[in-house]
Amino acid sequence: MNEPRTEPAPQCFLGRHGYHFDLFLSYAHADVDGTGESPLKTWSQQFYRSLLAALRSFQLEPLPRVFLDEAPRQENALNRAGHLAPELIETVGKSALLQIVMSPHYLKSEWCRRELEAFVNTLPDKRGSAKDRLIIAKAIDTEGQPWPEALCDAEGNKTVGWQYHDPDKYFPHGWMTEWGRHIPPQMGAALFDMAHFIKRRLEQIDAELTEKQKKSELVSWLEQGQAERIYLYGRSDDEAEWDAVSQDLDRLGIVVYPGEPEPLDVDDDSAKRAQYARLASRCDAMVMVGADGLKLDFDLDVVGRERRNLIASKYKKYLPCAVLDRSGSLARPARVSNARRFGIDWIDPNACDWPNYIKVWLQSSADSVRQRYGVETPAP
Amino acid sequence: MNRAWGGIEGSAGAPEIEGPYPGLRPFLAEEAEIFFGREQMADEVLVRLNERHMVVVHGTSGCGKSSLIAAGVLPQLAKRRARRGLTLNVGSFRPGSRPMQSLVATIAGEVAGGTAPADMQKVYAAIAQRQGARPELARLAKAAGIDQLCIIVDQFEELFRFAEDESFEEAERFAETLVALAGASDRPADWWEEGGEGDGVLATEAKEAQISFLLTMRSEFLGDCSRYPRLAEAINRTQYLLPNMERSDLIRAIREPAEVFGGTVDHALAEKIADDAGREQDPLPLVQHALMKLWRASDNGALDLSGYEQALAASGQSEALRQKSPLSAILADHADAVLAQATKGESDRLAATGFIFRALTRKDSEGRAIRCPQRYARLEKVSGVGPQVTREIVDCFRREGVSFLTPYEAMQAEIDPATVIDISHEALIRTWPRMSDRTIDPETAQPVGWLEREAQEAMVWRWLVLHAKFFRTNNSAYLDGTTTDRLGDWFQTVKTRPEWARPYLLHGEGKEDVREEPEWKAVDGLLEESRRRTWLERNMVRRWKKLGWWSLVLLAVALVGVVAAGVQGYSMWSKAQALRSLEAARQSTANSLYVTANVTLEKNTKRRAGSNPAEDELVDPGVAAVASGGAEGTMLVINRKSGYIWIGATRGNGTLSHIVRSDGRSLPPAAVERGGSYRIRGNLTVREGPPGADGQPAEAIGLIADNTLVTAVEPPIPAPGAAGYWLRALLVPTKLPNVRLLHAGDEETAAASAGNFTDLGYSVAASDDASARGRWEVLYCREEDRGAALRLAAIASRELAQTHGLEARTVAPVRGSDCPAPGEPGLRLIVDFSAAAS
Repeated sequence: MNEPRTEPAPQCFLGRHGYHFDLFLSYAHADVDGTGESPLKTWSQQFYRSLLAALRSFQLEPLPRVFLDEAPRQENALNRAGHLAPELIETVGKSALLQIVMSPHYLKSEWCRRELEAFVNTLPDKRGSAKDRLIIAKAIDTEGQPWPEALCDAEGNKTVGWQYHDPDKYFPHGWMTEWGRHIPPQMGAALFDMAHFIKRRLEQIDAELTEKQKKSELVSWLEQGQAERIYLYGRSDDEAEWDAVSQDLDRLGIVVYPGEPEPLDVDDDSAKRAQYARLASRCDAMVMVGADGLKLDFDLDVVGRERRNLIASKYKKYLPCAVLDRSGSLARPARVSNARRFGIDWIDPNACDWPNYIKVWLQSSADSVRQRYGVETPAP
Repeated sequence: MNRAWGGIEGSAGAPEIEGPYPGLRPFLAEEAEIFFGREQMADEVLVRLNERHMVVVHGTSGCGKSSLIAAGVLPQLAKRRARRGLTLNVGSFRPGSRPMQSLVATIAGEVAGGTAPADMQKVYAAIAQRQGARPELARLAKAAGIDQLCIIVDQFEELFRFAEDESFEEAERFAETLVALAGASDRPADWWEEGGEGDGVLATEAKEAQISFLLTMRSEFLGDCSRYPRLAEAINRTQYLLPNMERSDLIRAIREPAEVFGGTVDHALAEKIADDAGREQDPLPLVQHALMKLWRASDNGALDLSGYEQALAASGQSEALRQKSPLSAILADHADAVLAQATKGESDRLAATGFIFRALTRKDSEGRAIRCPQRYARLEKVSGVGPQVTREIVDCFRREGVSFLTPYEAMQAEIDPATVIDISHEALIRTWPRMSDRTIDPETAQPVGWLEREAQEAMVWRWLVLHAKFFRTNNSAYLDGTTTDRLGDWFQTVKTRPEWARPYLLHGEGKEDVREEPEWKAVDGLLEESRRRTWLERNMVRRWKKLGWWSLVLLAVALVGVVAAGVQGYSMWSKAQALRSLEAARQSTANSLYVTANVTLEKNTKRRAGSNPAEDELVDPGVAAVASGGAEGTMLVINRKSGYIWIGATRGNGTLSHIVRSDGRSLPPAAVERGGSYRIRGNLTVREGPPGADGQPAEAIGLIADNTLVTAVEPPIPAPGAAGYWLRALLVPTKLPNVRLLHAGDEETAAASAGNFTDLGYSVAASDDASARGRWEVLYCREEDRGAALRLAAIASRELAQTHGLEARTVAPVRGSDCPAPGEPGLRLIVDFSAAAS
């Protein structure tokens, strides 16, 4: 049980997002006589083992890690903060969630107050959304005793949490017993439900941070003018135009999706339309081949706007998009302004160093992607 | 075509949209460009529409069904069709009160609007076919140059109300036609029927147009669909339950519209609004509304968190509401501001607005606040402030950028009496404290919120209606004093807006004027009678307490009087009746007249039985006449009802000349209050109504004797064209019969006296008769005229004494032997005016 602090490079479920512990277990030792032992400490440590077992049973990868402080605390000692304080406070700061074992002793403990305070103070700096970070296990009845503000909702009501004692009992299930690997049956449901909640919350934080990370990567990728795949839209009756652009991009080492221009009846073929949308969502940007003005007007709306919006909604992917006006004759002010309203840029190959210009365009679109994804601008 | 669905055919053009956020109202078709976050749903609907030709989009109220179709599905469909050079015609209607007609007219209208002329007779015939309606119509539409015909049936659930209120058969036919036209039933053709219907392939060369139906409906009505043959099957195949927006979509719906207008919504604000939306029951309109407010308040189109927080901090709503539901607080604040504009600080406008909003809301059987659309004409009636002000108020709440009432100004500029007015969204009912606050105002003891007040008053009304019905069969079921006071006052305010009660009639007969409805009359009758009895009982109880042991003596006197009068039914006397006799005793000491009450219900019963109403009002054997404690024979049996009396002009000190407080102190007109008890000064004629505009008095219905207590029903009415006042009061007028005046002495005096009696309400035929010399008496013949004779004698004694100074003798009633012929006046007043003062 001493391993958390002896391991040099801590591994935990949210470790990839900079956390050292997924959960910090905060409890009062209630070691009033200074022997280093108390029934509450014994119960809390057994509770820790059971919770850890339950959490690990969910087979998260990597396995979640829970911090438990086993050092003796003498609540009544003169130097209550002791030399351990800075280290503990640092650990609290590196933990994703705070698990509180609620008891009257917890409410009186100076140690616990500091832990809670440190956790709440570091919340704004923790990665991921700050909601639902405090998990309360009600061990000993605290009816009638006020809770710290951080553990109450906006209206001052105590957080519901999970209850480990009978409503009419003061002490929790399994009090003063050694339950080892066998969880007292009365607390099994609460423990499992709480562990499940913790697991879901960890997964949510992971998903949120992973999404953010991917988006940041995409933005920085674009900032460098890089694109792995580009969705090249063109109508099947403008095959020659489409092929020419496809070859240009191919020469730059950019993969072009789909393999051929789109047939027009895709509008009424929902399966095909869905496939095209999915393909596009895997790309970094969309280029529309402009061949005929009238056709382009419709396509700007139906593909450039609506399909891109569908992709944004369904796959949460924002595709920068540009019209490639090879003839240079399509750029009527009304059309260009329409395209701009839909967030579509205009590339005239005759006025730029095409196809190398694509890098410049991708770099310039990075800002709008960043803005949409809410990715923070990196410090200069 | 309603503007919500209009304008979708055109391709992209510069947006003619007010701003990026429509607020409470749904999105219009031309607002497709600012419609974000619902792309997947629009796509799903389009997929189904293509495959099944019918989609029923359902969801909770306010979940965005109409917006999805107007700004999502239809514009996309139109663009896809236009992209391929195909024509799409879209028609829409609501089932409303003529579902079948609307369906036929909409389809026919769209077919007629095709590029080629159509044979409309064939179109009508095609719709009416049970089998093969769809392919036939598809061919006709195609011939008219239409590739796809899409019919929107918005608020399909109106059909169920129509079926309930109007005709189930028509609703059934409607559903059947719809299903047949949509080809949405999976019923296979029976072997004797023509073969199955081919699905038109949508292509320019196809011979048939594609016909599709898009229905919107509230999910709670899904169950109702199963009552219609084949509709349930069609719904099973075609329904689409509109899901909630995912958070990422909501964020897009918040942020992206601003960008179309060159603005921005920062991430922190979008996240905050999305968080706050999670606390609301139906967040989408609230989000749109808050954004619209922020957008309009912003100078540069850059919306950020601080602007939102400032808007909240500046709101006049309670801290609790701002904390708990910030979006609601912004809505409530806006609603308060619009209310202030609409009412201009005038209390009658505020009251009118309250009644308008009350008419537009209702609580359902589970206590949920729901909308209750009304025709504008009715709102005019309940507002109580006349058409112009009502119009101003309604317009104020439906302005663009306000959109609290429909039809929105943006969709329909003008409204007429038949226009259906509705609250745009239930969120307004639930979140605006002015509507929903349940706290009780200590002053009025009523809930503060209009909705709560409406619900409570509706319950009171219905209870009163039921009680009034019970009262008809049980005349002792009148209301107790406290209830009468409260409900009586309340009913007076209802009388200022009778139309209010119409939706709460249990069995309305559809009378133009609600006051003509039997239920209204019953309630009015119950309250009137309860007020009368309350008054009597209160006054008697007060006397009892005041008089102390004297009252017992008086009661004894009264009882003795009753015995002396030989009236039967002593054992039937209830406590109340004993109290009434006490009141009678009190009256007698003041007036030398005994008064007793009649019971309206008994009167009514008798009327129904066909007896003479004039007699009923005067004689009440059940209650019994009470004998006089004063001069022999001065007895009155009278009946309390309401009538108008002249209460005189104000005198030098500003007090009224013909009415005083019950304790005798005089009072000015302003002090006469509804429900107050006042004492009459002088014998006053009771009239049916106030004088007409020309100052002519209304018909006399009897007389009220000097010193009698009356209860004011309304504050005094200034007499038209003259100084002085009339008062409608609860009183006991005496109905006066025809009299023949036989007189001796001065002719002129006799004529003046006859005129005085006529003024009091008697019909007097006067003639000089020598036999009258030396006689002052009232002669009656039939026993049933005895009461009237006694009364005439009492009045004549007073009248002759006061007017002509004939104090020496009292007119006495005498049973005569020579009876007049039938039809002749039954009473004769015989007076010698020789001694009269001229």
